[in-house]
Amino acid sequence: MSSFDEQDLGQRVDRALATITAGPAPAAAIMAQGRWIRRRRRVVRTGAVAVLAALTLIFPALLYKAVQGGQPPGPAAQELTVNRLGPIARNGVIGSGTLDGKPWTVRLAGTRDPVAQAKGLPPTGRLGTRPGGSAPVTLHVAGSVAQRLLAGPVSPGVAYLTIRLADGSVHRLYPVAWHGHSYIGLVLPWNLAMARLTAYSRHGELAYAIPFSEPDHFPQVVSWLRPGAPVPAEISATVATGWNAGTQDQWSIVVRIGPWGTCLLNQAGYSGIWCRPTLSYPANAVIRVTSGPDLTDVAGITGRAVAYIKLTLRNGKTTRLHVLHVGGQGFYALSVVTNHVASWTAYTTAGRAIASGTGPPG
Amino acid sequence: MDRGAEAEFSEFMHSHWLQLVRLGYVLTGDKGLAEDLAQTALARAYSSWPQIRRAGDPDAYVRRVMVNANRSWFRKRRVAEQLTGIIPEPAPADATRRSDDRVTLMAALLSLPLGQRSVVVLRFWLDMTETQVAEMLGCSVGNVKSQASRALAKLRAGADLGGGGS
Repeated sequence: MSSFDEQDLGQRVDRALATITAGPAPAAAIMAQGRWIRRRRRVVRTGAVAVLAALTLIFPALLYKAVQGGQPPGPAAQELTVNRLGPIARNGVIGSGTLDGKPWTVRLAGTRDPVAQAKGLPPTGRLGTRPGGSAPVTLHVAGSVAQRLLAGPVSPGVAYLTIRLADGSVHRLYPVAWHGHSYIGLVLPWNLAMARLTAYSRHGELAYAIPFSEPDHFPQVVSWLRPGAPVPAEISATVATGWNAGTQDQWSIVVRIGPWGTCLLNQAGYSGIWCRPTLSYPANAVIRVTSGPDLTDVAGITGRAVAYIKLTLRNGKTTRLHVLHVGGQGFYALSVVTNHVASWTAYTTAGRAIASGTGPPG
Repeated sequence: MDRGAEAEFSEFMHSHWLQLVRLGYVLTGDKGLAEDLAQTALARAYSSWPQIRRAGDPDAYVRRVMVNANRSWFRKRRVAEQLTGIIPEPAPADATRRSDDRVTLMAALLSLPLGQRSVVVLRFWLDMTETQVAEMLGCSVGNVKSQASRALAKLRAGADLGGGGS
């Protein structure tokens, strides 16, 4: 395809679309709808924080039991079946079954670094050939509002995995080989969260993961626990919150630590979740975890020694950023136009500078 | 939201409305849905306008909302209605060759799968880079390249796009 053809196509699409006309923008309806979205977001945010705080205070054991595998009243039942496939993928098929009686198939495309596809769903990103680090499996997720496609490479020592869903059902997944590497793949309904993922060798349980699940977000599996090892306690705290100058818009960054790892949630207009394994970072570490080209809300993790971070803005002003310490890690958050920050310096409680850099911290 | 921001949003909304409806039309193949999609995206933008304004690229935000919302809607409605590649208002019998080209191109575009159509529109009509398209669609750059390649091959075959302009 020559660049001439591509440019020509753009111009031709432009000419074709010139025939599409529209009346004036329905300004009043758009603004009314926008205000309603804003109100609903505030109500949901306030309600969720209140409910979570109450439940954490009153029923901590009950909460954990529900996640661990109790029989919570899950969403409307959607019957999932998973077929056991042969050890070698035929035509790239690494998973199949039915969902509410309708067949689903997960197929790999590509040989060395495949993507997973399922009918009616967007493909995953490149899966790679092995899980990251020592994880038994690395799951890549793609999906629509109706279903999720999960697929990923499996470590050679894994004989099978089980997945427990929020409705209590447990499904067994056997790795399928594709061009010398093992993969699993399945399709889940969007509203049925994964409660637990367990990896087994031929001799017994290897590790398990409690995915971090939030409504309208893909499940996050970043942390694997060995059977019998102590389960990390659940901690939830607000890292920072504030009002954008001159507006009624509130931003808020919350950290949730637990068996799933450490997750930072942006509960402002742009909702987002960033999860990392819960690690012991170097004492002077400052690591930014939020990402995205249009995010003004910056959040990250620090080592134990970082008490506060001083920012120098491009207009010459300086501002001090508090670091919240919970669960052996420090957390910071701010709302700023990222290219307005010239540099940052991290300090100990004694006021000693221990790390620095340019741009936003981390 | 303060008056300045409100006025700025209003200007953005009115100046972008037609382009957003056209984008919606290519994505959905239906003018009514296109207007709904544009309205949804602008309402979402209005609800977070101060942040979007500070981030500095409201165009990208609104387009992303449209693409993602359409993907969601597409999943919901795909059983009930299928895009046929036939536009609802065909050109009149005495249309010129130029409008025939337009009709043919729109039909060819609408016959593409949603993913390929989104890539074509974002990449070639809105002149976004492959990286920007990948970011917006939540896929890899390689995936954008392959989708674009397949889409262009189909368009060439189906709409005689091998030649030059109109």
